[in-house]
Amino acid sequence: MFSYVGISFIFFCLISIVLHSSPNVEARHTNNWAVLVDTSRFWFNYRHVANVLSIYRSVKRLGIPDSQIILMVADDMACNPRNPRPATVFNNANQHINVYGDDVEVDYRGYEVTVENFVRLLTGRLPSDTPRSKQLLTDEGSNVLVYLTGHGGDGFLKFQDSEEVTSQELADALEQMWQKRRYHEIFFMIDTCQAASMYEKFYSPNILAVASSLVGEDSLSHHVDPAIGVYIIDRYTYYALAFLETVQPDSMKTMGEFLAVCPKRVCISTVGVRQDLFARNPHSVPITDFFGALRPVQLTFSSLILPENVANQCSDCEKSNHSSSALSSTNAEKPRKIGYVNQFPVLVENPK
Amino acid sequence: MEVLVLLEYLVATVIRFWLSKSDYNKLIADRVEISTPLNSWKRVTEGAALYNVGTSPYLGDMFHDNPLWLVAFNWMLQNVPQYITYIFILSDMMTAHLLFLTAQKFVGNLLTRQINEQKNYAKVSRQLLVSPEDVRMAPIFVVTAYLFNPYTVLTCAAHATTVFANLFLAIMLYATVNGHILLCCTALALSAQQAMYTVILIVPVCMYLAQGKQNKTFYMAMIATTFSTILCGLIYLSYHIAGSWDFVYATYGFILTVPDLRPNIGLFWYFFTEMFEHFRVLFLCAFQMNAAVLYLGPLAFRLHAEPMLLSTSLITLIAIFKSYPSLGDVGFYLALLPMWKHLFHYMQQGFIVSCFFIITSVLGPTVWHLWIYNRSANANFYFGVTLAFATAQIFLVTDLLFAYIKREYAVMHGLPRTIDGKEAKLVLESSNF
Amino acid sequence: MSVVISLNLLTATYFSENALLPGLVKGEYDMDTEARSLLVELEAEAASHPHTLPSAWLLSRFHRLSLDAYTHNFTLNYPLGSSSKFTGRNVYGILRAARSSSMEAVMLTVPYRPPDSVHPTTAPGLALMLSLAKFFRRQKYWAKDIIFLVTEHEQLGAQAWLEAYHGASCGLPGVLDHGDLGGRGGAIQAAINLEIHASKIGYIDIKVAGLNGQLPNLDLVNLVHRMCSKEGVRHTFNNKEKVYKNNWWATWSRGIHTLVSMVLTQATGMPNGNHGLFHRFGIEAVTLEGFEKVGRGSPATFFQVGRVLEGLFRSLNNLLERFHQSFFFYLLPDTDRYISIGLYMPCLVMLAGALIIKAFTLWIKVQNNISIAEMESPSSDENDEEDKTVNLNVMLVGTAVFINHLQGVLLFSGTQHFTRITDAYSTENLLYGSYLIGCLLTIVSPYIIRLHKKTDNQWVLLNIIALLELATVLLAVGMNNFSLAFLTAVIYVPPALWLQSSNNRWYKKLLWIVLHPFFMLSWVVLGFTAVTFPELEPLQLLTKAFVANKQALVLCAVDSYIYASWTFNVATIFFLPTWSLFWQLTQSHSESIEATFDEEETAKKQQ
Repeated sequence: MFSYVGISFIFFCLISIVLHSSPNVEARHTNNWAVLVDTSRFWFNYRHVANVLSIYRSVKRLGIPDSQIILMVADDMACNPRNPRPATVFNNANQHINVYGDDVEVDYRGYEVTVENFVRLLTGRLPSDTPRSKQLLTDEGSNVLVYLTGHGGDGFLKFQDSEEVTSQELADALEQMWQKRRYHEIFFMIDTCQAASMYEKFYSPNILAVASSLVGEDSLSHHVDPAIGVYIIDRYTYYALAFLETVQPDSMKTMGEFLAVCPKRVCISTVGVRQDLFARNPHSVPITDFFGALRPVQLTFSSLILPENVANQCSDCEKSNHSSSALSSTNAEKPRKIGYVNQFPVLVENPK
Repeated sequence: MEVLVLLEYLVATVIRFWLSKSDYNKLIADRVEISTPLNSWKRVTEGAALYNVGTSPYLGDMFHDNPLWLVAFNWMLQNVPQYITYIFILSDMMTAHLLFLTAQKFVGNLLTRQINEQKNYAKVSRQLLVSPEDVRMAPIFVVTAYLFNPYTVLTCAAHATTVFANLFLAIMLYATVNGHILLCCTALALSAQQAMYTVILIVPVCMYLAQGKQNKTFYMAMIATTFSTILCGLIYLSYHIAGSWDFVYATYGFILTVPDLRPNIGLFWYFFTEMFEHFRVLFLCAFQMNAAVLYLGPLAFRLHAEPMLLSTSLITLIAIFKSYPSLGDVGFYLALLPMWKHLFHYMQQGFIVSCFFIITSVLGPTVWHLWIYNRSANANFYFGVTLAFATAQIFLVTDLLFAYIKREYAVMHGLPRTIDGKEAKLVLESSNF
Repeated sequence: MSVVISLNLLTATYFSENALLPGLVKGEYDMDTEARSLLVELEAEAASHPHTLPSAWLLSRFHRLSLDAYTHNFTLNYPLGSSSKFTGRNVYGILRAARSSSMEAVMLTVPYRPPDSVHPTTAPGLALMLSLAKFFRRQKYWAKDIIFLVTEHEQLGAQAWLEAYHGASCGLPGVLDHGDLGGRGGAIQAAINLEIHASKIGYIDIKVAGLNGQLPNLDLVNLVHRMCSKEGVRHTFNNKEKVYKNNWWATWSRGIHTLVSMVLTQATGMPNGNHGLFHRFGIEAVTLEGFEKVGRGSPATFFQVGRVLEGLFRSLNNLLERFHQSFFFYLLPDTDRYISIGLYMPCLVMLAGALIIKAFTLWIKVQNNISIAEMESPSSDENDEEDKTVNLNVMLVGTAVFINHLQGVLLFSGTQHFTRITDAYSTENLLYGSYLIGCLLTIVSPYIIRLHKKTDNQWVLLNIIALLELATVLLAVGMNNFSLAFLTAVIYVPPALWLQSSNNRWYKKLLWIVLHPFFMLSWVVLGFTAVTFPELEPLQLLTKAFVANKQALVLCAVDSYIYASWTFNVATIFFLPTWSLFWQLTQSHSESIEATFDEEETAKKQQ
């Protein structure tokens, strides 16, 4: 019984903090999303699939559910007839990690990975009959991790073998997201040749961007698996994955540390970072802000009294769930009985 | 001379007959340079077969000839299938003879005009003027150029329907120089049913027929009206035969929108295979303008005194720039050139152009083989050759026009630095002897 | 040309096709013991079939590996002489790719040579192929079918099999009856032809020259060299190994050597291995010929060569579309250097260009002559005559050109009939004799036809036509077979420029006779014989060369009928008439002797 009280207590603290903070000041997100895209197909691009699956594995392990991960993979390496180890994708010649894992939920696959679908996904301009798994249902409280990998050049990223998205198009798509209040903060990661050119055109706020190479540099692959006979993963993602493997859901590591991953000595290319659009200091941003689904929690030591029979008042809840006035004071005036909360508890100002 | 010409007809007939009946016929008919989707006899037989089973041949992507032609070809295939080769050869011979008569009449006219105007001319070298000899020789050259040009020979052997298009053009030219308005308009309208671009030739026709008439504007308007009436009548007749307007898209639409990108000697196919889809309309307009109307205005303005040259150059330009050109078109305008024998003195690139023609004609099939069969070359090689071929043709037509302008100037103002020129030649001569 | 070479010997080859992923896999082939025991077994089997392919044994071998195995029968109706028939039998097995549809295939072929063959044995290659088949069977990464083909009668078997596979007939209809195949795979993307002569291999020579001078995609050639280097097998191109030397002169001369040998090989238009027949079907193919190790040092064994082939096939397995990225037109001065078409083609174009320029200067001369004539004869009557000659001249010249080409065509189309005139003499003698007569006719024809009563202008016009035809033919041949066109150009262009339109001196006539295409064949064969058998006495040498010459002529003709090699056709239909056009010029006399001569000189100086 006590534990239930404790849980509810924490929950309410959490919600009160979220609801009290206005969106612009001391921004805190309410949910996490990830858009992970591999844009290239064909067997010799095995490494790009391994890249994207590495990030997928990490974010999933750190708590973002599959329903909030949009995974776009342009080719199926696990089932390619040339793969001597069917149904696996490894990030390492020693087969340490099978990034294909047991359950990979690919949302856009094969020829569905197009520039149009990608931009529509970001901006939310999808046909009305699009299944939920293919929609990016973010809001102004969403922290979004965008990861792209493929073959790129100065100012563009190739999709499949036939089209490309330019840096300007990408920047405009992100701006549209901002104007439609589809994100709170974005962490943009890209692993491709001349990757930094892709974030140079960004002009929307609250974007932190990292790229595997500067303009004029190639991003290199890490190593070959002589049994499979392909380059197995790219350097930047390899080291990023190595770093992320050390992160646990309760980790105190910061984005600042993540941005320092893969120094030139091992990466050969220079990792580019753009943080002028990002209001916060990366060194004070927990890595779980983007890679996990943990919401910020703050403990309070003053006691709170929860409203009575919240659980029974669902209809009322919904009516008044946006008003978030002095909660604690109301509660203090009228002590109520503590009850179980709904799955999505919302506080009521004046339960009747 | 007449014996010579007759002999030429005979030899040309024999060559055509032999090629049509030999095993090479299929090989020739399958060459993309000769058979395009518009003129291929294979497609005609297919279209006629569909027509016979009661299916509209215009619904598919096979047949693109006009309903009038369809009926005519169908009749040929149904009733005289064994004589089709003869019909083709006969048409080609008629074309040649009409060109012969046209050239005779036209160069004769030129001479008459020259005699009338000679008092205005500056004192010039005799070789610039049309001589009576030219009146005799030019038609022979014309007919030889038509009969023995490999391009026309192969076109006839391949049974390409360009043979008939050429016949109508030849009738049109013949009627023009002889002043038969109705015949001229009918032939032109019939030719426009297949080639479509030739419709612009009504401009030089009007100009030629109105020459020396009192009320020029009225006269030209009358011809244009006659032509439009016949054209509309033919189109309506086509509609009547086809039973629906489907044929419009399958014929004119097919020519204008260029949906078939099978390689040919023209410039369309390569550009439109390489092009991004959203630029297609823009470039389609640009290319079609270039083929049809771009040169009409300026040339008509500049060449108003010589509508026949306008016709020749427009026929040439259409053959170069149209959407599905074939060697038969090239052969036709090449046969017209000897009519301008008196301009040859000023043509400077004849040799280079001939070299280009020879080399590209040989290299074209070679690189085609490398591309399609050996798979070692690619489309760029073939396009390169066709581009060189088109460039040579453009050189030829600009050279002709420049020659006309230079001659006109020289005839009116005297040869610039005549003495120097002659002296230079004399020096060369004295060193020789 | 040599300047171009020296500048560009240093252009290193590179891979254009990303999908190949050359040499990234570690070799796993370890069935060399198996291969050796197979070789012993095969040799025993071969001893009991001294003339033919041990097809039953091969079939059972393939069946034991559970491959789809078939035999293929074909028949050759010999095109020359009294028609005789030859039959042959190929055996092939198809390893189906388990996890993909059979849309594409790669091939490994071995030409089987029975013990009584004059060529060195290929049994070790066959044993290696069988062991590879067993190894490949156990792997699960195949995305394409692998076809293992053992052919009989050298190139004939390969040609028949390819024709049957593609349902096409290349040569003269009815000559090679290609028969039917029991089973097919997908579209063949690449083929490796294996001719391993010993189980201890000194070096592997990589052969590229194909039919009509067609070459395989450079990526495939690079791939083979790369795999050989990776597995430490010595590999050569045209029997020249890469030597690392600091001395640029040594490198350069070696490069020239290799290059010349490649040009000579390619110029024949004959494939120097079975691979050469695949090219025309759009299949990239090379031959790997392994020579026995002689002397000291450790040889390459089945183990290493097996791994080379394993690596090759895994790379080919990676291909996503047919080879198209890299060069199809190149020359190789070394195992890892190339000269691209953009560099060597200008040499040929310059030679052909010289002909065209000369034709142009002659043309200007004709123009001047005409205008001078016109100016000199102001009265209209004379002018009439002049014009008439200008006109007739086209006719006469056209007739001359036509007759010349007719000679060539007749000679070519008569080839089969010549050999059937009588049974008293052998095919070789009959063919050689009739060609000799035909060629003598071309030499004496100017005297017989008496067309050389022409004016100066007509000769010049004929000269222009001859020059243009030579230039055009050279360019067209050069697109297909650069080496042939280049060698022809080097031999014929300078004399063709040197000859005048008329009134040539005796030494020019003599030179042109020496350059008769038929005699050229003799010189080439003589030179080749002299190089191959340096120990022979001059008289012996001549006899041997004469016999070889007759054989070469028959081979040329037969290749044209069976394989549709066009060297023979081009030589008789184009080179011979062009030659005789020039020959007519050398026999010509014109009235205005001095004038022409002077003008020629000035024209040449201008040039």
